[in-house]
Amino acid sequence: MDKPNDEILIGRAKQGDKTAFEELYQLYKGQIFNYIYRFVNNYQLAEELTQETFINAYTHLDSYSAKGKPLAWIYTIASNLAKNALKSRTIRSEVSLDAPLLNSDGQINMFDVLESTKEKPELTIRSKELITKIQEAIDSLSLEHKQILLLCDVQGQSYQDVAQILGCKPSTVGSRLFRARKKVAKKLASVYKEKPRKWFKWKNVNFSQEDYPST
Amino acid sequence: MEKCKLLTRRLSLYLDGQCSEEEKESIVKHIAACKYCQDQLILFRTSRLALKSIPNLKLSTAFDNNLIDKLNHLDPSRNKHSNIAHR
Repeated sequence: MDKPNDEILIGRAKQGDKTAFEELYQLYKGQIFNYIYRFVNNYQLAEELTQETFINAYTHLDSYSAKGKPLAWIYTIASNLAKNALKSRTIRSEVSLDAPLLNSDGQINMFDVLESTKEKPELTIRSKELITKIQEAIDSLSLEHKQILLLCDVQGQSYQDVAQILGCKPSTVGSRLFRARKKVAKKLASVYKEKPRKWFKWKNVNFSQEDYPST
Repeated sequence: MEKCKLLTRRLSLYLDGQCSEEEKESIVKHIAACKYCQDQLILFRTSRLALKSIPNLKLSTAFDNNLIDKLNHLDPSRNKHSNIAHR
């Protein structure tokens, strides 16, 4: 039997079916948690905000409009919570992956909670130092730029979906994303030039073929 | 190297396949002749790949049960169907 799609699940949840909401939650909890984690750069706070996101979604199911995608609606809730948290709290930034941190399981090391791999990554990041540098570059962005960069380049959401999440036009997504990318690229430029083989293990990436098709 | 203000903004759209065929053709032609834009494109593409590849973290093992407990205690009037099962 085919899995019900998100619209059907949220429709059932609106009718009071908690198991339908749980299916949505199970589908997207990891994605939403990782989005928030990269946004606030704090494991415990990211867990709290993920919980708050799904509780808000559940208690405000009536505000979901069938015009948009359920996941985009959940991202909107998560984005607002993450932005408000950064505005209102002083967060201890976890710039080091070795930094000890506490969660509800007790004290853990960041490497203990890394998922094994993403699906078919085009490159493998070899160095925790690089992950730290990427996170520092993300942290240096304004909230607006951070949000757009994470949604598009980390979470892989389309311009159309991000436009729904942010309540703007797809063309606005393009121009904001450009400015965010420019800032991050500037921060990381020296890293790439320094020792690309140290940082990355490339897989089927051929810049010359794709980037200069007319040459 | 001299900056190319004309095109850099459009490189980001080109990278995401957000240009028309006509625009794409003119960008490709420009890139072939502009070293600055070649470098920018490589920089943008490397950044995008790096961001896409940062590893995900797992939620703690207690997370599911904590949240499901909270959901089960919320708005009981909605609870027409069975409660969410713990995993």
